[in-house]
Amino acid sequence: MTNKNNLYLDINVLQAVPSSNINRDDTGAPKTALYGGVIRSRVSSQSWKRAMRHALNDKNLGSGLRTVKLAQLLKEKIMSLDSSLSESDADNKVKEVFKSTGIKQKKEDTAALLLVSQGQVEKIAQYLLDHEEIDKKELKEIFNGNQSVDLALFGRMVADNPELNVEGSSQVAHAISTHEVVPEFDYFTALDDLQKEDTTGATMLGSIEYNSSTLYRYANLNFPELVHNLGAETAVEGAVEFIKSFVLSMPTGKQNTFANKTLPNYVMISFRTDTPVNLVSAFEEPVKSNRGYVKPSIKKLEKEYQNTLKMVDTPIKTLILSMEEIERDKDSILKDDQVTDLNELLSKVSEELQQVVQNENDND
Amino acid sequence: MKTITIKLTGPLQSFGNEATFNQRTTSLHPSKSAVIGMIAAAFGYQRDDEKITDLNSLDFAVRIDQPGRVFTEFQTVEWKKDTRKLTYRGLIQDAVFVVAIGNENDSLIDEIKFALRHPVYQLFLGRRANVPAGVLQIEEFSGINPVQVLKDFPWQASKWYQKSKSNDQTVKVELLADTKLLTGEKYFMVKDGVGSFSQKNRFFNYRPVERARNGIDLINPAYEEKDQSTDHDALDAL
Repeated sequence: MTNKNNLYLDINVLQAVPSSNINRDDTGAPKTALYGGVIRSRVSSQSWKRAMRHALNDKNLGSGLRTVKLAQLLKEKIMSLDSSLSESDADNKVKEVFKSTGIKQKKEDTAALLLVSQGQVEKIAQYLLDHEEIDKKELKEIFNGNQSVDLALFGRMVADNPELNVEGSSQVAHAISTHEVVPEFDYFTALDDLQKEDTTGATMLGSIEYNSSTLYRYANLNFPELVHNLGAETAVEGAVEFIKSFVLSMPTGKQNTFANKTLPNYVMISFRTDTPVNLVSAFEEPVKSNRGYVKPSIKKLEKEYQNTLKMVDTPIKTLILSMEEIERDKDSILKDDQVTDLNELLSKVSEELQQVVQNENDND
Repeated sequence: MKTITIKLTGPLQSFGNEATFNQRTTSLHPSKSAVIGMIAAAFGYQRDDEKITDLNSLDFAVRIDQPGRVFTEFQTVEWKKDTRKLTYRGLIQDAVFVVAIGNENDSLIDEIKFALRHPVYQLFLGRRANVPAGVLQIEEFSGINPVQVLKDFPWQASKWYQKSKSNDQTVKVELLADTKLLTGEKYFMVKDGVGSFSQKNRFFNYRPVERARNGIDLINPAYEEKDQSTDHDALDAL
């Protein structure tokens, strides 16, 4: 009775963000959440995942496209693979795909945005050229295989044909501030340059709600599931890209107004073989400080990490990248886990995962 | 009969009921189907695995230790290029629930407990982004059913919440359970018996649920006895 194959990567990030309105609700105010009885600033997981997807798409890692233009992509691909094909022949071949998968179309476009990878488009195009008759099952296999990294990480939903759905292998929590926030309002006026000299008053006025916060951000990765989705080799690379995009990306909401693009102050990655653990519980009691929130937040987070070990297995590895000097007790179990920069962090993650993949192959 | 309690808490939770694309509301406490889904994920069952429906036979009770506050999360979905739909999702913030699960088959309960601590797939509180806070706290009891366990299980509300009720020696919390675990008489129907989680054919059956008539009284550990003679007596000085 063991789940021997479990391997979860927990990614904990603390990040100070100055005055900003990264992710707003339907009234234009920054999103918030109540936790521990006080208001926290919040950035939704959907918002941050979108930023991550954009970061991932800049990579040539079989990156996925969110598009309605599947038909067009397929047609172009087929015609580039076989230049002797006429346009109407290509159209007919593409039509077959939609018929047999049940994906709905409105005119040329698919009815909803589909997440597909370049690799999938290539394979489907090749399949259409090689086969006169389409086998539904085989086509489905192509749709499910050769997935792009973001598809494998975040999943896909095709309402028209649930067989094409993909369960994502990651879990991204909403980011919340480690402390209480008080909403603030920026009152602004704007003057018309061509306003006559004898008139006074602003042409426009309004206010923008904003806040500043030290965010606790958490995501995890089910590595065996990613391997299942991508294959071992791409999975290692995909895991590294996932971490990188989680650490470095920032949603773009009101970025031009506030220029709030910061980098994390602290990153902790744990390799756990039993269960993922979200350390947000460290901040249920909000951090109180009049000298900044980052350092006390780090202290609380590391203490919570140590406390949770009374209930779960010690991770096989924990890696910490911190921009701050950390005061730790001499006997802290985290004192030897520090790395110096992001490159070292990522290469150590990669090493560890390579080893896991290696061991699994040996077990077969 | 073996029973385990599971404490469900985190910044956000949501337990969907009947919904449309745009408006997805939440019920005010965990549904049995959400907890069964969590157990199924822990076991690593695929969505269409028939073993999931076997879990409906577990005895189930839930106690609302800290009700939290419901709010509506607003989201835009770019379902077509440059065409956005607004969707609204109900979420419960800052809540603490204790669910109890029991069965005559002790080893099944043991397996569930182990799986929840070694889940094959990630666990979540109603939505994937609602990650439980901290390690899932699980306690085990022998020989008593979920309702009996929850009648005595200590109050799990957060310290700040307990303190906010420091004038009360005991607090009343709500408890809902499979009707057979209570009187078996005054039940209502809830559509959260798992039929299938399969995305091709997702459906739920009606399930009889009963609310404990007068709630459950629990001891408040943060109770502070106040000096009773603080009334102002204007004539005292005479």
